[in-house]
Amino acid sequence: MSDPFNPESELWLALHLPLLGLDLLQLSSAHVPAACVYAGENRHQHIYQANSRALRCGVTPGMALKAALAQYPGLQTYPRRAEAEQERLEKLALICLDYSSRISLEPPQALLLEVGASARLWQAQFLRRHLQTLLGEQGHIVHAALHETPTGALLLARGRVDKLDALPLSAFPVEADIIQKLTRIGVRNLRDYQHLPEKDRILRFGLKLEQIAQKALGQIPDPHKNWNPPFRFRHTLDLEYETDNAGQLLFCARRLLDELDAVLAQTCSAVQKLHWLFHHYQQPATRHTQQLLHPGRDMSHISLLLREQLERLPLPASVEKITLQVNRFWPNAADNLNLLRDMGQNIDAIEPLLEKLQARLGRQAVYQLCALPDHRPENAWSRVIPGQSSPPPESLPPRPLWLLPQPRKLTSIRPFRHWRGPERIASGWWEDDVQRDYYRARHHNGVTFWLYRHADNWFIHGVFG
Amino acid sequence: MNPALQSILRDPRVWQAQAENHQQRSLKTGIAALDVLLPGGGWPLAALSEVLLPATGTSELRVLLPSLARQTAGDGWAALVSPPLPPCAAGLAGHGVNLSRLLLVESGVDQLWAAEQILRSGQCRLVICWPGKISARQKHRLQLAAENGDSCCIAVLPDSRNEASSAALKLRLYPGADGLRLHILKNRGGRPGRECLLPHV
Repeated sequence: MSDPFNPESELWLALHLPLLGLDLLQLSSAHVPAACVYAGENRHQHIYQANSRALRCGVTPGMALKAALAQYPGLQTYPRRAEAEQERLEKLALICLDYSSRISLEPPQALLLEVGASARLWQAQFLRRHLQTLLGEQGHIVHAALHETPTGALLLARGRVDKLDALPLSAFPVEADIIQKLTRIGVRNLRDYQHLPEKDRILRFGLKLEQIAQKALGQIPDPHKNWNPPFRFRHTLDLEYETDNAGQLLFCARRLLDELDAVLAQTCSAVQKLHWLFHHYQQPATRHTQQLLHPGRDMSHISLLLREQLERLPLPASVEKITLQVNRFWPNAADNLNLLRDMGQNIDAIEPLLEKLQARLGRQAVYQLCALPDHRPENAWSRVIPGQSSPPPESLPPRPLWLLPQPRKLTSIRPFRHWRGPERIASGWWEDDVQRDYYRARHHNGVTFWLYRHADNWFIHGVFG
Repeated sequence: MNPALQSILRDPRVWQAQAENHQQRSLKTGIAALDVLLPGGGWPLAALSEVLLPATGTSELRVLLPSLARQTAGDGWAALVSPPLPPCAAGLAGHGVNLSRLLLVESGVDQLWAAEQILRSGQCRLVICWPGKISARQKHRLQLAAENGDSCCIAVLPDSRNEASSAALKLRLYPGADGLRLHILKNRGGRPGRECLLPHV
């Protein structure tokens, strides 16, 4: 069929989902009662898709909704959700990403995959059946077809035939009256159509049909827009019953994490920030943001962190839905194994611990000290995120081990002996004028303190221990 | 020695406390006078040690500083869990502590939980905590966590001599005229009751 060693030769697999709208409602199988999805507004409501039992009862797509209900009053009717259909197509495209990198979405109800390259590994027909089963497992009725041109594959899948020659004209996405016109003059399929003189064809049946036919036969170029996996994630899970139990919420949240993990695996990505929304009945949703120190893909670690946080998250009411949203995907650096891994810094090893502590105690509670070049002792340090290397401080006269948050005023300096100093610290006049003489002195209980004098008052500023 | 006794001692089935002591692994305290008194030659690893302070005291860091400096010198980490006062960056660095390998955790009521997590992870060889009041059961948990992560846990506690504890080492600090006195109250695998002196700076 296709020559695998010729890059020019393409093989397209079309996956047509004739009842996508009903698939979303799980109403497309033959065993469910007659149901349909309708489109259109107000008086123009018409049947968009109908399941097999509805078709048997005489409900046909395109029929006015009222007429259909008159035909079969027991018909279940649901409005069409185009956005949900598009979302589902993207979800299926993600699954197909395992088999082809060239995928194009053909809304409203088809996917196109270039499988010429995959056919080297898989037999093309086997791949077709495999994908058909795979999408079937997701609850879809799938018609699949292979052809050298994308339009050809799409038409074959829509018409459910193997050869373009035999393709019924009803499979063409053109207006119904053009098909009627053709049927009236005895044109039933593509071969009959081709036998008509070319000029007549365009004049009588329009350019659109002609172009589709030419694209299908590979006579004119047939570009299709490549679909790129979305580098974001948003998914909502409806809970079967409302709960505010942290354990149950975590169980449901894990399912969302599993879905996220699948998307990350297919796009070779990692996440750093996860936004959780816990929806309540008639109340604003509770928001919770999870932030990792570095982008990662370890879902068991993330769910461990979430458990710590969920136990502490105040929920005003029980939760009926959970949404997980990730706005930014990062390249998954963890997939790149380092030959000299052991020689790297071991900051990576301590990271899960830091995240665990931060998850429960808050981000500010886990820190390391950093010495700053400032002479005023209270400004000479800051808290920084652990794992950063700080420059060694300049050498100073002995400094205490503890620094009081606020200097404490002394009533008397009598208990202090063994005075040493002073060390004058004067700086920062542009902010607040500091000029202090610091002494080291030992209290009679044996502890050495760091004292300074300011306007006839003595203050303790630090403890040497 | 009696030849009969020697033949018994050569039997591998006979457990000898003395031989066991030499195998105890430890982190050097960095205070030579103290190291010689401890059976492993330092803070026992995979165990809890208690440092008991007199009521008004903040002298524990002087004793702990040398081991903190040793521990943070290379790739290892040390952690301070809920210190009673903010440690002074310049002071610690001045004593050779590598600040970028010193983890500080402010954990409030979750202090024991935090200490336990850090110990269990095995990422910090030296974990120092200030738990205030702590029950014998909680001490036992810290001891188990230290065993689990093969790290050294030092709990700084107010002095209360008669409390039961699963700690391997109990060290009481008290100020003397010539410096800080370190009195060994309990010393698993070694002799208790001895003391050493850390002179005033």
